[in-house]
Amino acid sequence: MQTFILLWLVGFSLLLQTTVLTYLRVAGVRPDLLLILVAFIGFWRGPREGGLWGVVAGLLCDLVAGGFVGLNALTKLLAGYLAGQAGVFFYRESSLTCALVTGTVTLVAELATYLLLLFLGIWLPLKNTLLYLILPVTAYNTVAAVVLFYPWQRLLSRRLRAR
Amino acid sequence: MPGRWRQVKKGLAAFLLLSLALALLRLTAPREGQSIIPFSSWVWDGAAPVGAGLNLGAEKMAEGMAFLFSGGRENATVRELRARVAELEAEVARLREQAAENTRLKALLDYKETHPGPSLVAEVVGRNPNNWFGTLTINRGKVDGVTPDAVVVAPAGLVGRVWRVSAHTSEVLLITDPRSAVGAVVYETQVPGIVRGMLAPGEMRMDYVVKDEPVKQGMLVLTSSLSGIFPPGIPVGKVVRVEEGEGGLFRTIYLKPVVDLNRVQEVLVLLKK
Repeated sequence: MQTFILLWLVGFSLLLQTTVLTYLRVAGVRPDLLLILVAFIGFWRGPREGGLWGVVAGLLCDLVAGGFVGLNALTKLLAGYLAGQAGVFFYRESSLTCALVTGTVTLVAELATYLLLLFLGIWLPLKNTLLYLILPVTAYNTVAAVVLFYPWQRLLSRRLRAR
Repeated sequence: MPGRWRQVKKGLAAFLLLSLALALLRLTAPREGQSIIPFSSWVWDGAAPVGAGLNLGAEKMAEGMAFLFSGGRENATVRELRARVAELEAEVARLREQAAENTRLKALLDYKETHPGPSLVAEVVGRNPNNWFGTLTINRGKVDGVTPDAVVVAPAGLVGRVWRVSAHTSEVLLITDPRSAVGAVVYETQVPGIVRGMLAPGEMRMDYVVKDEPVKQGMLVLTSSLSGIFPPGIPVGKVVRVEEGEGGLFRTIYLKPVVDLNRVQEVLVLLKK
């Protein structure tokens, strides 16, 4: 049952990300809902599940995007795993902590994406990429995590919280 | 010792998996003109109506919010008039470019009339889930006659070109994507250059612009006749700033697209003759 709920959430987030989220662009970027979801799962359910759901969500995202299969899978695996490690050390019921963890793993995942694109031969100027993409997405995901923390906690904590 | 051996095994497994993932990443890097992988094609074709519905709902919601936050100033009439102004500006630019082109060509006695080819209207049904790439999905594909490299425009100007196609949908590479390059010319001075996509919010850069002629903020940039893919005279963007650089023959100019690529809902695909 839990798996189905999480799969549904991943699918729904992906659908929103490819359609309506473009209307919520701030400074040219939109929040990465899938990354936030993976960070939440990792933070609440541990590094193993965080990593696993990171791969699932990322792979689905890559397959829907139709190319670079593994790009999102790898970066979201990293994000989910790191959020899971943070969940072991930090207090999980605080929205601020959860948001800061989400922001930090977003930053790491986006930097990893930059490196993977370099590996693929796509060179982007680091300063511009940091200023106009990586940092805005990090900030946006951090704020969005605060907003999404309460619905996540209230609606799903009983079903999805790690025992 | 067994604990250490277990760690080594774990490390080796992780290394192997990472190598496999990187190899897969390289193998599946999308190449221009190739067909979309079957899974994506199936998802795109199946999800197109849902995407279109969600987009329409989001557009209406965004319009409602804009109306509320602007105290009623941002309404349907204003939006309609704004769109009309953009359309007419594009038309004026296109006609001026055509007139200038006519003069040049007639002077050379090498006149070649360019007929507008067949085209079809398409609806945007989805966008790339990543912030890193600027692509969108339209609800027209192979069965409608869309082929890779077909030019995609909106009433105000250039949107991009078809990158990959599936049976009923196509992926459009936006002019703001870092992989995009468009041969262009500054309308007022006829200075040529290459417009490349950037990650900066809604900006593009035009490289290899010679320093001979002045380029100022607000000047219009159109596709040039040197571009192998795009027909000449389509508005691409407006100059927002000029970077002179130290020494050298060239400068870089930064452009804002004339089309709001984040909001564009309907586009025109210029089919190849």
